[in-house]
Amino acid sequence: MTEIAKAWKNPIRDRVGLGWRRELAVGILSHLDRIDVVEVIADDLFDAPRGERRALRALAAQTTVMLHGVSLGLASSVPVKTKLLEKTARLCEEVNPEYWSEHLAFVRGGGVEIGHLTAPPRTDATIEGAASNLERARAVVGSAPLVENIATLIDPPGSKYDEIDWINRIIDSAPCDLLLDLHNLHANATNFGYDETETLKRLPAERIAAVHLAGGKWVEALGERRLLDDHLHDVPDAVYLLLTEIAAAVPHPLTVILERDGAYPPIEVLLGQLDRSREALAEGRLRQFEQIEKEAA
Amino acid sequence: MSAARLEAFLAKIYVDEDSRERFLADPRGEAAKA
Repeated sequence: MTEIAKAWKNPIRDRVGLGWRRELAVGILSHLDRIDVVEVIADDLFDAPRGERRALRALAAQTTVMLHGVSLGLASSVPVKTKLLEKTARLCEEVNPEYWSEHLAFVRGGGVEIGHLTAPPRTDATIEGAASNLERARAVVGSAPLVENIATLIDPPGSKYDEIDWINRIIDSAPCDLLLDLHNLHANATNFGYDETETLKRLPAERIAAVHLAGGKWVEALGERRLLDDHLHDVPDAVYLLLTEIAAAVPHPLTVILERDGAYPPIEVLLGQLDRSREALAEGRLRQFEQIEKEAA
Repeated sequence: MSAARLEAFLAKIYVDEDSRERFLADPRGEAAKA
């Protein structure tokens, strides 16, 4: 391997971090030398006591913090609640994150709060609704969020487009880049029987700014076996392979966040998954370099 | 059905088990009623 290739393989340009959870706080704070960035759930802090928000500001002073929203319901023909956007704006002002992110999901309809992230019908109406919601989000918060693909156990009824077509149309018409959740992509590809690596190639590499990693488990749903994205299990091998594919294709530095929402293992296990992510990134970066070298030869 | 009504219909079948079972048993019939 040439010296240049060795240097290229060093994934120092990419950053790897963890989702902030109260249960992981001690582990995160005592290993900030191995965690480049921390992602905090914005909604947990909207109405948090002053002390908790002060702690977040202290964390942001020590490391790079990103904010991640879960309740806006951007992918809907119905306008996002202004109050939620204002709360997001206030938090962003306090923390000054490098970016904030939200899901391409709908979470309420007809006055019903669904209580989790769900896939809306993939239609022109939800594309236009998402674009308009994203524009409003940018206007109120001051910056547009990165938008994240979600996992779904059912193909949303009434859809006109497949998932990737639908996402591409939204980011074509809105001022935002992608937070690509690789386990969501893996779960959807597994559950609906399509090739995940080929699917990845249909997304514009230059618009992928950040990546989520997580794990899941098999469940019975609607009489069929489905892979559920539950954030309670380790990242599977298939997701690391996808991360390598992304690193081979994306020309700019990536931010990679490991999400774990429960069944917490010792922090060393999660740090081990961060190390493995760095290795997967390095492998992809080397491939990218070899490709560039080949084309230049 | 308007986009907003379709989303309201889906929200209902996502959260309400009875509605979901009725929908799964007769998708067209239930959608027509919505």
